[in-house]
Amino acid sequence: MSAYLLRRILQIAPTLVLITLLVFGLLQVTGGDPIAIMLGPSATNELIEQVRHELELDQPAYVRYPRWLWRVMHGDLGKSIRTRRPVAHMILARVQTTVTLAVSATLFSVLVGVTTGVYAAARRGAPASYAVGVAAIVGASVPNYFLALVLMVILGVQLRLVPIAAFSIDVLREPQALVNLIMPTIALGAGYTALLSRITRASVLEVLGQDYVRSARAKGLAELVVIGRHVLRNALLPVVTQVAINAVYLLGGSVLIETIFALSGIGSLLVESIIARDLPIVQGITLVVGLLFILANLLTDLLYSLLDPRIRYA
Amino acid sequence: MGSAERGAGMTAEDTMRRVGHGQTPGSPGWTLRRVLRRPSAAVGLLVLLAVIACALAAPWVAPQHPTRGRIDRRLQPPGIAEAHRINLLGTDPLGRDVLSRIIFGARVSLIVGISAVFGAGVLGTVLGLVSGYAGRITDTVVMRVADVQLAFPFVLLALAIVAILGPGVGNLIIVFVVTGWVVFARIVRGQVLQIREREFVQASRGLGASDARVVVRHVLPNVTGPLIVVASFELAKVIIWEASLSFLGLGVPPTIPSWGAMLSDGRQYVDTAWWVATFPGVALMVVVLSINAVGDALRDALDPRLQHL
Repeated sequence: MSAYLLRRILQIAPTLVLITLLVFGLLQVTGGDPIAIMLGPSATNELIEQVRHELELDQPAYVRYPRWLWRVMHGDLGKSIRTRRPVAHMILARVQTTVTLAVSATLFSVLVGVTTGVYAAARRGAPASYAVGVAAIVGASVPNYFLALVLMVILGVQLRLVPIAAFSIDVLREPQALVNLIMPTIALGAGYTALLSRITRASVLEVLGQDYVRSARAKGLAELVVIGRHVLRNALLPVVTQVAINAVYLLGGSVLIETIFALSGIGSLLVESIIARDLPIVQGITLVVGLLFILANLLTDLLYSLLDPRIRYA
Repeated sequence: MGSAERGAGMTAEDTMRRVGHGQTPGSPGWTLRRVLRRPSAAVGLLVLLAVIACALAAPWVAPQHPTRGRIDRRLQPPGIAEAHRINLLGTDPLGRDVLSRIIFGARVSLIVGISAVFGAGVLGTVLGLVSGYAGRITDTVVMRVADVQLAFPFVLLALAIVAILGPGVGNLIIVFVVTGWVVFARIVRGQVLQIREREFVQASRGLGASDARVVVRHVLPNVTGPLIVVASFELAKVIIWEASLSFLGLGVPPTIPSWGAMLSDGRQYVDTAWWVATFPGVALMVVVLSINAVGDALRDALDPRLQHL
């Protein structure tokens, strides 16, 4: 196990280096003078020079990269050009919203996706099973922000069940905000739910064809026990291990969901910063999410190898 | 299915007869028939052809001008209010006809989608061939970059590139080419590694065929199937993401009608004028569903090994 762990960690190194290069490069390759573009036409020459000096753009890249890397490793992601506040603080202030969304969407997807997937496999051929299949295909084709709009019209405007935008989803401090989470959760989780439903269905169908399932049935076990104890344990392995990685994928989707519901999370901060050309924030978010992604990938592989020892020797 | 593999299991006469009737597995006619046999794919293909035709003939098909609106007729509900001015799908906040904008918006989706997938396909194929043939350092570098790119959330990479280049149709295409080549390169490289050890390639090598000839005569025909399948799924993905970036204001400039920007325009009016955002969204969904239906059928016809895609 430790040899596998070591190998996996060593494999990460080049990825890490390339990601830091990409993030560092964000400030370098912008066409024209990046400072002038960022500050806009009203900036004075002194201000431009001051910011240039602050970002150390008056020095060659090979001098700046190691320095930048050193600061990043100490948690210093630089300062925002718009607000002059440290980027790390600005990201931290928005983390809770995004994490709340990602967690609730993940829970929703796993719950709905796995249930419908197992159902569709166990009742193969039934009309309801067919409906699940169609819903999964449609769910995978609907852009999440369009689904969000449809939900707004139905739940918010027609039925008046929930506020349609700019609401609080701080469920830890105000439990009654839980209803506000309904729309963003469904919109963000729909695609992943559809995917999970398809994966679960295929996986369960495969396990149902195994000899040990036939043996379990032959010895007279009830169908529920066969599915619960013998099929699910083996079929859900790929589903369970993928949860971490998909939670990070959902961070990508939350860029759109946060924007449409006017929630102030990391995703909407990223979009605002790109439009305002506040590149230090774009750098910071790209780096943080990139690292999270690598971490989730590593976690997924380790979890898998722990649950299924065959992987380690592959 | 490639030219070299076709003969397996049948006599030369069989092959001749089949070629004569356009029934060779893998040939365009054969593939089309297989795809059309599936109702969902047949409908999908029909829808796509209609959308392409509308996009090409937009100035003639669209009932009104897509960007010139009448402010006195803003936010008109769908239907026929006056006989001489019909807004079948209603009007937007600037009094522009939603249907006409959807028809013109199809152009952006298709232009960005098709050119980006074509560009990514060409770039990926070339890099895959080079990587598979050259081996050693080139192979390691290309595949390492591919791995890193796959290990990085697509949205983040796309947004980072937009942050550097700025919005615009051309830049969008670049974004999707840069983020999309990896799948193509992997497939082509895998095929190269597999094929170059096969007897028929060794034989043509022995007869003095150059690398270029082996690539053109043996490798490319064998990867067209998988490449077409992947391209169809990539097209659906690019069209969704073009709309997403335009929706965020990071894609197509607001002067050009695009589905994503229309959705964004309609967002503030969901409670008073649902049609502004709904119809472009439906258009987007229908096109993506159609592409996926055709893609599914193509996959089953051309390359059953790609089931997991």
